[in-house]
Amino acid sequence: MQESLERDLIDTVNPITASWNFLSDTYHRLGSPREFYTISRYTTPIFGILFLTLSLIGTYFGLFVAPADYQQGDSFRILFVHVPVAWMSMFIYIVMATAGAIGLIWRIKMAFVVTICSAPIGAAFTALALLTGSIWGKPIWGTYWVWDARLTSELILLFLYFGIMAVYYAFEERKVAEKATALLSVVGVVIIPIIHYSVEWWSSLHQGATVFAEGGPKMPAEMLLPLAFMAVGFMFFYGYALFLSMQNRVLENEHKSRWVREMVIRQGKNNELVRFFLHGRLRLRGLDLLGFNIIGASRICDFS
Amino acid sequence: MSPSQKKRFAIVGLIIAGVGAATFLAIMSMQSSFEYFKTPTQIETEGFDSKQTYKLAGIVRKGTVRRLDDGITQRFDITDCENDVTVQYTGILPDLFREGQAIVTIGKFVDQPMLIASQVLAKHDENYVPNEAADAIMLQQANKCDDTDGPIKY
Amino acid sequence: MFRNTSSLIQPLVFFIIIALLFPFSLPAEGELLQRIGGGVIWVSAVLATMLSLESMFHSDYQDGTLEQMLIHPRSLPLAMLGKALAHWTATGLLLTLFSPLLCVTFNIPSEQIWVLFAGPLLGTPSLSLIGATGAALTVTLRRGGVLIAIVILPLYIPILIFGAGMLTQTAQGLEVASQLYALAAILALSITLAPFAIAGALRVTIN
Repeated sequence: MQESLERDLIDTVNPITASWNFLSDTYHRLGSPREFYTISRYTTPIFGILFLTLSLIGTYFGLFVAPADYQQGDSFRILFVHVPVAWMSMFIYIVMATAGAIGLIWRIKMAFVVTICSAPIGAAFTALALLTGSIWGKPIWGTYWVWDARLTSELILLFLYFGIMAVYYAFEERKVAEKATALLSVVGVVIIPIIHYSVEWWSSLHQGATVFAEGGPKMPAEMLLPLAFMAVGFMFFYGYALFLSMQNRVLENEHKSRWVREMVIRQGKNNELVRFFLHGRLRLRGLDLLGFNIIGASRICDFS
Repeated sequence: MSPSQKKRFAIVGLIIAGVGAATFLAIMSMQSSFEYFKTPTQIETEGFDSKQTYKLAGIVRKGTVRRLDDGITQRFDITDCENDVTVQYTGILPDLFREGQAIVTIGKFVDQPMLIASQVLAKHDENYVPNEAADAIMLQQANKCDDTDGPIKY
Repeated sequence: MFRNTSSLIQPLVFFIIIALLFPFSLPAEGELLQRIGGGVIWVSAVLATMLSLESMFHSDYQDGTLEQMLIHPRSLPLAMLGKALAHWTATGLLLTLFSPLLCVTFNIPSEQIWVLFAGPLLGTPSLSLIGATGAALTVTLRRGGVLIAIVILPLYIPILIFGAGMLTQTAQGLEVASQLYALAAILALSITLAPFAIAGALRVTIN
C-alpha cells in the first residue's frame, strides 16, 4: 500500500517521466489528422510570430550592430541569410527522410504528410542557399559558381528535392504516391553527410565550417548572435510553412471524413469557397505553388 | 533461434558487412585525396605538362606583386611557404586579393615555369574578424611565411 | 533479359551513336576531342543505361511475373539483386567492353585506355543497381521514362564525377587510386542497400 503510493507519487512528480508522458501523448495526438489539425491551428500563428520577431531582431543586429568583417567589409553580411538557409536545406531533408522512414515502418499517415509538405520548402531553402552563395561569391571569390565539392553536392540536393516532388505527382493513387515519395527521400539521405563533410574531405574553394569548427566558433560573439537569431527564426519559419501546408493537405486528404465536413458547415455555410469545398475540391488556384499550398488556402475555414 | 530470426540475423550481418566495406573503401579513397586544386610543392615535385590546365592554390608571397607595362597585367608569386610559382594574370583581380591572401589560380604553364592564369579566385577562409583588428591580422597574414618553414595549409 | 536480342543491342548501339555524335558536331581538333572524350563516353554510358531502365521491369509487370515474385517465399531483395546484375550484364558490361574501342575515335592515348575500362567496370554496376530502384518506383506508370531520369540522374552525378575525374587525372599523369576506391565504395554501398530499396519500391508501387 505504502509502496504503491510512493510509486504513484514518484510517477506524478518526476519531471522526466511527466515530460516523457507529455511528449509521447503529443506525438500520438499529432499522429491523428484531426488532432493535428486542432493543435496546429493554435501553434502555427505562434510559429509565425516567433519567426517574424526573431528574424527581425537578427536582421537588425546583422545589418546595424555586427561589425564589418576585416577583409570582406559589409558584403559578409549576406552570410546571416546564406548560412542559416543552407543549414535549413539540410535540416529539412533530414526531417523529411526521418518522417518518411517513420511512415514506412509504423505506417503513420501524418508522417507522409510531413515528408510531402517539407519537400517544396526544402527545395526553396536549397535554391536560396545556392542563390545567396553565388551573390556572395562574385565579389569575394571573383566568380558566381565553381564546380567544387560543396557547391556541386548542394546542387544535387536541389535536384533530389525536385525528384521527390515529381515522384509524388506521378502517381494517381495517393497512398502509393506517399509511400514512393517516402522511400525515395530515405534513399537520398546519403547526400547529407557528403554535403556536410565535402569541405573537409576535398580541398574545395568553399571555406570550412566556421560555427561548428573544432575549438569553437571562429567568429566573434557580436557576429555569432545575429546568426543564431536568424537560424532559430528560419527554423520557426519552417515550422510555420510546414504546418500551414500540412493543414491544407490534411483537409484535402480527409475531405470526405465527417469531422472536416462538420467543421466546414459550422464555420461558413454561405461562403462560396466553402460550398466549392463541400463538393470535394479544396485547391485555391493561384495560392497553390506546384500543388503544394504554402500559405493561405488552409485559412479557408475562417471565412464566414 | 527460429528460421525467420536466423534469416533476419543474416540480413543484418550482410548489411553491416557491406556498409563496413563501403566505409573502408571510402576512407582509402579519402587518403589518396582528390583535390579541387594543387599546391606549388606538388608542381615542384611532379613537374608540369604545358598542355594541361592547372588549378593552383597558394598564398600571395609578400612583396612580389608587380604590374607590367601594359597596365592591366599583374605578375606575382604564390607560395605554400616552401615552394613558389610565378603567376601572370591579365584582368581584374578579386577584391580580396592582397599579400598573404590564399588564392586559387586557373591557367596553363606555357613552356616556362610561369602559370598564365585565365582566372584568379580568392579562397576565403572560415575566420571572421571585426574591422578594428584588421590591420594587425593583415600584417600577421602578410608575414605568414616568416615564422613557418614547412608547407602550410590554407 | 536475353529473350529478345533487341534489348541487348539497343543500349549498345545507342551508346555508340551518342558518343559518336560529338566528334561530328564539334570542331575537328584532335586535342579538344581528346580532352572531352572521357566525359562524353561516361555521359553516353549513363544515358544508354537509363534508356534501358524503363523496360527493366516492364514485361515482368505486364505478364504478372513481378506479382508472383512479390508473394513468393524466396527473398525478394536477393531476386532483385540478381535482376539488377542481369541488367548490368546486358548493358553496363557490354558498354564497358566497347568503351576502349571508342577511345580510338577520340584520339585518347593508348596508355589511358585501361582507365576507360576499369572505371566503367566499377561504375556501371552501380548505375544498374541505383537505376533499378528508379525503375521499380515507376514501373506501374504508363510514362515513367522522364520521371526515372529526374529521380535517378542526381544520384548518378557522384559516379559520373569520379569516373570522368579518373580520366583528367591520368591525362595529367597522376594516380587514380582515390577515384577507383571511391567508385568501389559506391558499388559496395549500392550492392548492399539497393536490393532492399528495389524490393521496397516494388512492394510500395504494386499492390
